[in-house]
Amino acid sequence: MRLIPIDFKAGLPVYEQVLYAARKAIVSGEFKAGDPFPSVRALSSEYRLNPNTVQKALTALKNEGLIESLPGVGNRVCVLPEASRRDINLLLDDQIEAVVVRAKQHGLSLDEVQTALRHHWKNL
Amino acid sequence: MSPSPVIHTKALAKRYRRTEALAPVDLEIPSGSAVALLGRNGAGKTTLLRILMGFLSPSAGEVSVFGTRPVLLTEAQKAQIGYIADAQDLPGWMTIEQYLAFLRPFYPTWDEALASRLRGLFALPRDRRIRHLSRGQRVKVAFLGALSFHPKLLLLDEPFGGLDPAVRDEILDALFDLMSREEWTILVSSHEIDEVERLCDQVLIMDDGKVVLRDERDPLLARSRCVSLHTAASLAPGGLPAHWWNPQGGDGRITFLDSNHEPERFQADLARHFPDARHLSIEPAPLKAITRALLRSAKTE
Repeated sequence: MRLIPIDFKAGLPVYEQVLYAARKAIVSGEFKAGDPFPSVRALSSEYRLNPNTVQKALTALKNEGLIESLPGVGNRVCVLPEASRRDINLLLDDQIEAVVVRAKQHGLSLDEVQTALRHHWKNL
Repeated sequence: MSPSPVIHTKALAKRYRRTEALAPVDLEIPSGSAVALLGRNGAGKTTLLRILMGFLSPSAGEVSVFGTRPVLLTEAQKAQIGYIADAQDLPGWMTIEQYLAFLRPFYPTWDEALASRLRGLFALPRDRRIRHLSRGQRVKVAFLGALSFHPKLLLLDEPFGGLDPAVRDEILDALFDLMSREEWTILVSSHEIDEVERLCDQVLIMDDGKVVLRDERDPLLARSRCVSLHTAASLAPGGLPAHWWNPQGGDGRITFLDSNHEPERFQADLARHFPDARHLSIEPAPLKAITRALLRSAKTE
């Protein structure tokens, strides 16, 4: 089975790293709607992760509507669900503001931040 | 109602003459958890595991495994526990095949297909006498014996100690491969903290016979940071927040582990204690760094 790529970093919560890697693989189109999505067992044995942790991450993905679990078939990627107004506000206000705060703290220019934003936008 | 815990202790204590090997320990380990048991040599990890196996009697307090005092565990209950210890005695005169044939009748759930799959995975020669095996191979035989009957509880006491990394990896691969299919509750003591960081979802750190930290792994990692900064200020003993563990200083550089990192409070504390801080670095803290900082902090208190 095809696995999601995960670039693990020591010291970060494993659950969040799995969740982030999975979201990234789905929004980037690497895993498209209808594609099979790796099982707990596949991810746990390939990346040497506690299966409870992987299970928690997959449950969160199901709750976000990114994957579904079909009895007898396994996990499958869903059509990207429409974001709620609340999620959009959280991203556009709070999370982007947090990036701007960090950027200003490090003395970066708006240009530098925009370039980085464009770069990541294109790469996903 | 939540299911009864696989392991339960209340004010569990063990004394060897004047030495307190286990101070009163309260533990609840629910079914399905994988707990990393960390701490220095002599912290009480082996004593705890040996009490859980019924090899040692506690001096005081309560202990139960599967709801029963370990010394009173029935044969059927014992046959659900896989145990591996650092200095495990295996019968050297037996071949691997003879050893497995010897174990089989003790375990009603023994799975011959699994045993032979693991033997193949570990590349263990069936007809070799155990005394002629390398240390790594002997540990693999111990794992083979402890995993082949689908244990419900795995008690592993320094299972990777002194193993060559390739052997350790083979064993870990087998554990991760089986883990999502089995219904294990695992308690594993290890110095190889990096190895157990992903195996376990809970962390229990012991020092001087006491449990000094018990938490789920991810929340613990989420709130811990390694901090370093440059300052002209010196380290005033006792003046720093108690959740800044193991502060170390020298040559104008100070490091510590922020064990309860909240950005706003951190900035306020920083401004109070090191107003001239420069080259501030705040990095994620691996379990190894958290354990080391906590144990060093405990020693300097």
